[in-house]
Formats: sequence, C-alpha cells, structure tokens
Amino acid sequence: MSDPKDGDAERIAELAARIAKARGDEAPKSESADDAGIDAGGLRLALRVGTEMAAALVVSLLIGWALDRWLGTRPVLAIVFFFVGIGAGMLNVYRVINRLGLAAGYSKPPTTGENKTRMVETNKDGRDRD
Amino acid sequence: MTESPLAQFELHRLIPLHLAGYDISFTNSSLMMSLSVLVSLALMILGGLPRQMVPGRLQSVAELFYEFVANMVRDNCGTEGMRYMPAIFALFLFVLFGNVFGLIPFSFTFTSHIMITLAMAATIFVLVTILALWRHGLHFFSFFLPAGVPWWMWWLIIPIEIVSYLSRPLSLSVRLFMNMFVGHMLMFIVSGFAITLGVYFGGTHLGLGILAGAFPVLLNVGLMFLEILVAVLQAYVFAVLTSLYVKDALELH
Repeated sequence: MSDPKDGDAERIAELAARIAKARGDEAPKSESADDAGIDAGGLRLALRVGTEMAAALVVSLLIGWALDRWLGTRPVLAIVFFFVGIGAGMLNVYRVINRLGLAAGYSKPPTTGENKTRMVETNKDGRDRD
Repeated sequence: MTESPLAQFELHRLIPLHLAGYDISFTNSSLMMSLSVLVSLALMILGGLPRQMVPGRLQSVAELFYEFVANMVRDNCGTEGMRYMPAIFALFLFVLFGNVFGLIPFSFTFTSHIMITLAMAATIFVLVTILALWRHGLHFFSFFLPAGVPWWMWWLIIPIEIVSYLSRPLSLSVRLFMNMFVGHMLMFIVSGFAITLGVYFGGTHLGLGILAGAFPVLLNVGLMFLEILVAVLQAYVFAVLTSLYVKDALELH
C-alpha cells in the first residue's frame, strides 16, 4: 500500500495471469469449434476430401495441358501431370486427415505436435520461456 | 411456373455500364456485394462509436465479431499474425454477410458464383505468396521440399508439392462456392416438390394434396436452419483457412 506502483505492477501481473488462464480455458473450446468442420459428420468430411482431391487433379491437369500447348508435346505432359495430380490430391487429403494444416511442405514431425491444441500449447510455453 | 433451379443464380443488369468495350454493369450481384460491405462497415463504425466500458447492444455485437476473429487468428497464426488480422476480419465479414443476406428470399447470393470466390481465393493466394517471398526471400522455395526427403525422391516430391500448393486457391474457392450453390439449389428443388406433390395428390383428394404439399415446406424449414449454419460455418472456414495460409507464409515450416 505504501508503494502504489509496486502494487499496480503486481495487480497487472496478476491480471495478465488471469487473462492467460481465461484464454487457456477458452482455447480448447475454439479448437473444438475449429475441428467441427472435420468431425461434424462423414458427409462434410467426404465433401472436403473430395474437394481437395478434385482441386489438385484439376490444377495439375491444367498445368499439364498448358505445358503441352507451350512445348507441343501433346498429350505426354498432361498424362504425366495427371498422375502427379493424383499424388498431390492424396497428399492434400493426408494433410487434412492428419490435421497438420493444409499447406504444402508443412511437415511437422509428429513428435512435436499431433494436433493443433498441443502445438499451440508448446508455442505458448516457448514464448513464456523467452 | 416451372422455373429452372438455376434461375436464382442469374445476373441481372440493374444499371447498364460499358467502359472500353467491357461490360461493367452494376448487377444484382454488385448490389449484394455493396450491401455486404456497407453493412459490415456500418456495424463496425456504429458499433465502435459508443466506446462504452459496458457495451450496449450494437457495440456488443461488433465486439463479439471482432473478438471471435481476433482469437481465431491469434490461435492459428500467433501474435505475429495479428498484423494481418484486419484483412482476414474484413474478408470474414464480407463473406459472412454475403452468405447470410443470400438466404433472404428474393435476394442474391454472390458467394454462389465460382468467379467471385475464385477471385477472392486467388487474391489471397497471390498476396500470401508475396508475403512469404518478402519474409523469407528465396528460402521460400524450400517450402516445396519437406525436410528429410532423400535426394533420389526429389523429382517426384517437388512437382507434387508444387501442385499441392497451387491447388490451394481452387480448393478454398470451390468449398465456399459449392456449399452455397448446392444449398440454394436444394432448397429450390425441395420447394418445387411442394407444388408437384400438392397438385398430384390434390387431384384425387384436396386434403391429401394439402398434406402432401405441406411436407416439403416443413422439410425446407429444417433446411433453412441448416443453411444458416452452413452460411456462418463456411465464412468461418474461409477465414480459418486464410489465417492458416498466412501462418504458413510467416513460419514456412
């Protein structure tokens, strides 16, 4: 009480801890809402997986077709890129199912985080230590 | 009477405009887009004006939206990604109001057009790629080669990763477009059953016809709730995926 600034600092630290705690409590909730897109049902999952596969295949075929037109090697590259597209589609689906994110090259080793919740937690810990 | 289920997605020129050979008419789609922008602007400006410690109704709604997206971006991209939160927030509100206003009868859903969702997704894709190049320089291209791949697999992995990366805007846009398109189409077709069934059974007995016609209407009430859920969820998914892409651009691996 004699040193109001000190008391304020304590209160601010306490408030920050409370905010962090409240956020920590809330985080799993928002995570489950995030995952609702995946868990809400087989139909939604099927739609999502189908979209991923089809998108990769369409993009891949378009690239193959355009390269064929450019190089005049019709239809060799379109066929090659058809198979590349299947591979990329499977990779996309694998990443959606694994919940490692939807990104290319986003290959976190499974030991650091099997799902997003744990990754967020480890990030938070790392920040606190810094 | 038997209108095509696709008629609801048709564009109508409200104010015909032509510029340098291009048709830039103000259509019903443009009207709904302007409405979406105006409503989201009005909500955030009018909701932000009171600046009460204990928010009133409008301010509470604005804060709810803001905190929802802010938490989502913070969870997905960390505090560094909060720099891009305004863009994601604007995108979220635009898509959300587009989806929700599209459910009002006789209005128009601009997110049910692949051209609009693809334009948004392509813009996001280009900006995120520029962001990644700007942040990481040429190191960005290590994105296409996951760590730990043996050198004799590079010829296969690199094209697959590049195609996987390039397919992002398509899968992002198709997801939003397909959900909105299919939902509106389904509701139209189910409501069409009301007339068909009603007329068919009404020929034999009037009460039976009314009963048969009422069933698809009840089904449509349920579908309407589902569509409201889908409209909000898809706007959310669009924003989540955008923030995931931003995170990838910031962190690479």
